[in-house]
Amino acid sequence: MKKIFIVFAILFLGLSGIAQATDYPQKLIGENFTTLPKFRGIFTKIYADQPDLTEVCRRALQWPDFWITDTDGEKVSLFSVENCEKLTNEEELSNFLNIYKKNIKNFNTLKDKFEERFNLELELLKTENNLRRETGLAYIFADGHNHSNNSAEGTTSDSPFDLVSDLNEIDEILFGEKAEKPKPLFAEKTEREIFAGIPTDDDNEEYWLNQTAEKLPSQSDNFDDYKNNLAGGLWRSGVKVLREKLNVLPLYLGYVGKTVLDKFATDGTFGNPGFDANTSEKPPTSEDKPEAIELAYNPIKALDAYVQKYILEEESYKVHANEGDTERNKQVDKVLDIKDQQHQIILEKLSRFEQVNALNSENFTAHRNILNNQMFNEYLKLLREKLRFLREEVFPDLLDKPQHSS
Amino acid sequence: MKNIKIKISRDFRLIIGLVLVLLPLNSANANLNEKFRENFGKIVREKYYNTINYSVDDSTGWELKEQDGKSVWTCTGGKCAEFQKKINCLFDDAFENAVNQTNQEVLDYVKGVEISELKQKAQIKDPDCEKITLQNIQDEQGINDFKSSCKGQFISSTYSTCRVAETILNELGAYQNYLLAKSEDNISFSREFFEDNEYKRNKLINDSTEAKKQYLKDIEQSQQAVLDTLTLYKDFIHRYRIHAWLLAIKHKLKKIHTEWFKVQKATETYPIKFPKANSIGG
Repeated sequence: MKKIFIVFAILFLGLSGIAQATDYPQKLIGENFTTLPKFRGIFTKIYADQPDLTEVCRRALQWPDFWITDTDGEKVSLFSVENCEKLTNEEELSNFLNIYKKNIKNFNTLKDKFEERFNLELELLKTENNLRRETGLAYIFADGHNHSNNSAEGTTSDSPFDLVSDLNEIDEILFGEKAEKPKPLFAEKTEREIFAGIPTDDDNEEYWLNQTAEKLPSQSDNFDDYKNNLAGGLWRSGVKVLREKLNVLPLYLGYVGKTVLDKFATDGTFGNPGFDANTSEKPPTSEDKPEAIELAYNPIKALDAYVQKYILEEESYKVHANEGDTERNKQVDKVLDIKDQQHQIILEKLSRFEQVNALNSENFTAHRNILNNQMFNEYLKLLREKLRFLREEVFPDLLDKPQHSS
Repeated sequence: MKNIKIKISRDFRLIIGLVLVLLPLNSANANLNEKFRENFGKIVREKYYNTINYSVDDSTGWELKEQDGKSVWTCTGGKCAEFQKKINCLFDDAFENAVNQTNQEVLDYVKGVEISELKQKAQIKDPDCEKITLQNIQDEQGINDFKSSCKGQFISSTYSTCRVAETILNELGAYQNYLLAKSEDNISFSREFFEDNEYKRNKLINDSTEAKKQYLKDIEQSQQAVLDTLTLYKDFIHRYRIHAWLLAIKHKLKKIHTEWFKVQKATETYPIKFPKANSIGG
């Protein structure tokens, strides 16, 4: 069952990513960053880029739980969109729902459900915003679009410099007419091309059901032994679709999604611990530090170990922990919640990243993998949070498709 | 790592001290201990070495304002504006100087090669931020007894991600503690928005509850914004350094390419002028 949740959590993130693909690359935080001076006030812009509660409201009200068929046979929303759009913060949610208290049967159940949906949509929108910022602003610097100084040469400029363009120019100087200038796949695609061939929601189910073994990736052979196994079935029917979706999703989101799939395939979540989707990757070589190796291959375990080693086993924390669940301890926890430790971990990450800049390329590659996995771990944490929510509240609504396919 | 451990340990002792004076917080009226309130600014500075001064009586600046028919929490001044401005200026300063320093570093290395793209100074900072520079803030934090954990020539430079993160996280930690204290305090709220009428007083209590929720929300929001901007800074500077060095390689190659072209042209002259000549027949 856990495996199904995982697949659907990924699907959930994946689907939310499709919506944001239209944002790429110009609308990262509502602005273009074509020249260096446009970075002025970047912190304020990021600070102000918070989830729009009207959008959260709109999404929450789309759930079928809040629709009924009226006397004319038309489907109408139980709650008024107009009222919901007046929400300014989460605290007003209860006030909004209380407007309907007298008019709706089973009000309390619906009220609870709406609050859950609202919070789910809020979390998803926050996740989308974070992914959009973290990925988009990094990728405009290496998407092959010419930098602004050369904008006369064509294509849309989206950043003050572009590493792919730099390398192309060097290639041309070195090899003249024989220069090879690979075009970054995503950057050259139009929105129409990106979405062409992707099953829509309407034909998605048919697509899921009609897949045959011939169409599946070769790795699926590894799951022959699991023909009657739900995990194997999921792999055969679902992962191809997920991969195709993820392949056309923009930027890091796709990378993260694929990495998630690969990791789960590797650690046996899909039933075959021997399968390694990353066999071409060299193992980390960062002086064989146990935490580095762990981090590269098992981020969740590594982070837990990291927290255990550097935080929970820290002397003063032990003293605190041994005092038990006292009122004083609760107060300490509250203050600790300011996340001093988090700051330190982040500082450590950043410091480690900078150290590698000064080291040789082999170390750099190893450390970059570690850093990627640390970022990856952040996403896993989000996923785990989503899983918890999905397991408790949302999953029954999403169960249909895997049941058909297996 | 050792440095960080030491810092956590020392911070923890300070937090314990802070908590001991915070203990009466759970009382019904949720006001801060008077001694703690008096010494708040000092306690926070000892822990975070911050350069913004905080007192529990300072206004946060968060107010509900009408915007497009909605009431929206808006930062109208006070400490929220001071914090946001300072962090903004520090990031702008970091971006601008990291770019200019990198350019200079590359230009110094490839002396004699003309790289026009790197000669132009980047101008990112707002003129209002003139006095708020990373160097100044790091100096001030140093005076407040802050010892950097960023060791090594490259990492300890003013605009390294490590130092930028350290400097800004110090300011963030202080601001978050200030908001936490404000969310546990009624006195300062009553002083700031004093009402002599009972109805208004009751409304004020409701308002203070809502305001405190906003303070707690801002603790999360400010942290998220700082972390996102730090991640961006780290990625940007890393890529910019590669870009600057690629430009240097490109311009050096161009020079070599031009020289090579001259040699090539010279060697082609003889066969073109005397097409039938060869080494045997002359």
